[in-house]
Amino acid sequence: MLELREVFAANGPQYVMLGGLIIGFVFGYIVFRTNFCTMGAISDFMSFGDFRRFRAWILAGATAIVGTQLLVYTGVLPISETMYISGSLNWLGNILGGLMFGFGMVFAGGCASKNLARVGGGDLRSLLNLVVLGIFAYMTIGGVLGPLRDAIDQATSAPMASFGASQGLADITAQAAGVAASTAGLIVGLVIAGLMAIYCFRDSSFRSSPIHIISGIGIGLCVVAGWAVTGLAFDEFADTPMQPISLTYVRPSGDTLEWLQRFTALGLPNFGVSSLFGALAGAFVAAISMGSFKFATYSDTNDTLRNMMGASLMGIGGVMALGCTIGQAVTGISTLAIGSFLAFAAIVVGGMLGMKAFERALMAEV
Amino acid sequence: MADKTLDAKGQNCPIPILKAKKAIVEVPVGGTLEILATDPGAVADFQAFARQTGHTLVEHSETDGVYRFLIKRAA
Repeated sequence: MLELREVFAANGPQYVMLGGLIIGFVFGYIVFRTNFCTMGAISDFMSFGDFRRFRAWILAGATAIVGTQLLVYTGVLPISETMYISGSLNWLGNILGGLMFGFGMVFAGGCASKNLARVGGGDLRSLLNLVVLGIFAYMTIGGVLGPLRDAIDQATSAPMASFGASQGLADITAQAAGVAASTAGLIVGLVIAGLMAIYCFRDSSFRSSPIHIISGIGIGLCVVAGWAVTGLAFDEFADTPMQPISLTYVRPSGDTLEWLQRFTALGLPNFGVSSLFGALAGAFVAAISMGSFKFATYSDTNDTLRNMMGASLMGIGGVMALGCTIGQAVTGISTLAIGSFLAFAAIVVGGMLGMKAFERALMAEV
Repeated sequence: MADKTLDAKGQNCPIPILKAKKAIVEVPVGGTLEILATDPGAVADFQAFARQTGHTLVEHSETDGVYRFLIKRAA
């Protein structure tokens, strides 16, 4: 393990970039090939009572939790260095941002990662959606919306010091039970992931649908692989240590725009940027292999307005919530951060509200 | 000849499904709804739609990137 970590640390930026490309490729391929879609999952159960894609999403989370907590337990991932395991709980940002993201994704034809997959399939509307999303994400991080976002964070963030070292369920359980955080994380993770797996597999239609099972497990494993690569590459003694991260697509959409424009200053792309390019390539290969690559664009003015609004909301909401349907609802929850579970729930509620609003708007148009 | 045709070409999920939900009730029981779509996810979406709602997906085909679905309304 130590040797492997030394090799990764010595070649950190290269390995992280390569890992991002490969993991992103597999992720994009799975999303396109299996029609994995978190917004579609909500549409399915609200429109005709089909929970299989929702269960695939839950299974991705369960897989990611088990794999990630094993990485923590075995010392591969220094989880306290991740952005999710913070000392305070930004509960209002998680909830408000999650609601906005969920609402927005319905109007933009899917979440950030679904739009990425669509771009790989030739959808130019999704390409512009991602550009808008990336701009609004950066506006919310440190642009014109940054001060407002920061004021909300500062005013409402709840310190977690009296419960544990962080908002992570592992730290909270460790303090309450007096055990090591890595052990607590593994036990709590297995319990939560077990309950999620029971929810998925108790449904006979899900059990008999291999494509949904494969997509859920595959996407969960992509998240685990991301943690493994960036966890091994983390070097606390480096001048500027690279924070461990895994799949998430809101900030990386903005990072990619910046990297494309400032390549000479920034150098090698980070994990988020390279995993975004990887996902595009994976979806492209899937689309070609299925014979479904086809250029598409906005169908009319209303379609353009809806998509722009949805992408803007996803950019703002994704930053406020610290992630998207993958970044929080799979990658975030794999760390067992309370805020990630809050954001996940808020995204689902936001998606349901969005679906209702979208249906009303569409019916008014018909 | 279908009783009703829904043209959802150029529209992404969830628009074709939401429109089909409304259109199918405007078709008489036993009648058929024809749906035209271009979203690559539409095939899986309409297979699931028919499976869950009890309506029958009588046929589906693809020509030059346009998917055609014929759904027979159940009672």
